[in-house]
Amino acid sequence: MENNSSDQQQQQQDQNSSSQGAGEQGQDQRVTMTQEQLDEFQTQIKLNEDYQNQLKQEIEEQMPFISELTELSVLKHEYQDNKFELCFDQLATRYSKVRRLRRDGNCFYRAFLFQVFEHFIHNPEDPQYEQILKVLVGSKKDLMDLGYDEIAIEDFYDLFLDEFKKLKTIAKAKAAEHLLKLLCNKEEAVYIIMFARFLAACYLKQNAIMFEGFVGDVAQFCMREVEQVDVECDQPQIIAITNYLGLGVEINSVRADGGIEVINLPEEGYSGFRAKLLFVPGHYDALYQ
Amino acid sequence: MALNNAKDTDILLQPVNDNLFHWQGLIKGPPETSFEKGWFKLDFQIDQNYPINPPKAKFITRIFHPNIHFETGEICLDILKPQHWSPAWTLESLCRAIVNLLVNPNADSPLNCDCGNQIRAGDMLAYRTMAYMYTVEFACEESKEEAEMILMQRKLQE
Repeated sequence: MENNSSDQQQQQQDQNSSSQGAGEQGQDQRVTMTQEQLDEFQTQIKLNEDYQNQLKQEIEEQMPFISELTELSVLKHEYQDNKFELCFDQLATRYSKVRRLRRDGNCFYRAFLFQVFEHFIHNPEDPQYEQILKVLVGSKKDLMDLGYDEIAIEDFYDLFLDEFKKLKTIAKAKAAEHLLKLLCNKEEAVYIIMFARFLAACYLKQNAIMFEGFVGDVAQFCMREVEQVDVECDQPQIIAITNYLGLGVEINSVRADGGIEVINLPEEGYSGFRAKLLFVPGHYDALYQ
Repeated sequence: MALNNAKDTDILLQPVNDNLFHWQGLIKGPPETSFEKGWFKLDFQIDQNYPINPPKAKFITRIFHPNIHFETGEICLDILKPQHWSPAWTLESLCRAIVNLLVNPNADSPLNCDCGNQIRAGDMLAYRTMAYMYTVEFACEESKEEAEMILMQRKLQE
């Protein structure tokens, strides 16, 4: 009797599972896959990943890491007949040029570092320089206190610090040339941006209580959304890196109604340098007057 | 080499033939698992872009685990994929992640079909028995002796 009823239950379950969505069925099939099928499945996944990497590379090659100074009207032209087109008229009242960034997941970091470094080449006497230098020197200890292995961070730290110190020696007229070389390659630029990611992660972890409500588990968030190469940057990371370094940003965010929303981080009580950025959903570019 | 944390006696890392692009790791089977008695040898290939790119890691010692290929030793671990890897990881922390994978098998993304099916069917006894059997067969002799030798040499150096 008992057997019978459990058989019925089983039947019921079978019927249920056969009436469920394709995703569920896919999983059920996997239970009965042979090792050969599974290996084939894995090969397909790899081919798919290769294809995506190839696509990514093609996108990359269409655009330099950082463009030369470009008229803002060029951007407006590209957004012709788009809901954001009118935003550029409003933006043009305050800015006239833009440096466009490659859409490789590093656009915020690259644009931010470019403008900050550029500012200090042009203003070597700005007292903020020494303050940031002090923070940078201390950042290795800060990171190690949070549990980072010295060996994992020191190459990034050394290079970033060296390049920051070097800014004072660069001739003003050579600023753009120097920075386009420094931040636009697949070698040292990757290290410099990586260290900027570590600095953001550092602040996020030091102030985990402040961020938990927004990003969930902060350590997990840093692993997934901050410390990976080429992963895009969101507001928590921006708040983190600007606060850690004691710098500011002014983000000009396009609005669907054709306006521009200006977001200052930190919001108030800050009078130092602000990197000026344009934000179109999913992407940052650097703005110039 | 500063890469070895001398305090760590469960994870032993060293370059193969002094080649810094090719490393060998020995990890001790984590306690309270079927792998407890064994030592497992791992192979790490590092390219010029490490640590921006992840190392290529595989098991040399045969192991019965849903996320490790029984024949090739390939490991299904998200952080080994370029899109999930972070330069914040080191070979040592990677080994720790692999040890953690031994403690927490994930039957939803199997590389070893039979093993994955046992766990998915809830037959943990079968999984543990098989895993134990292969640990005794493959991970308790050569790799274990090698690990003990390294640990002994270290003690002598101190």
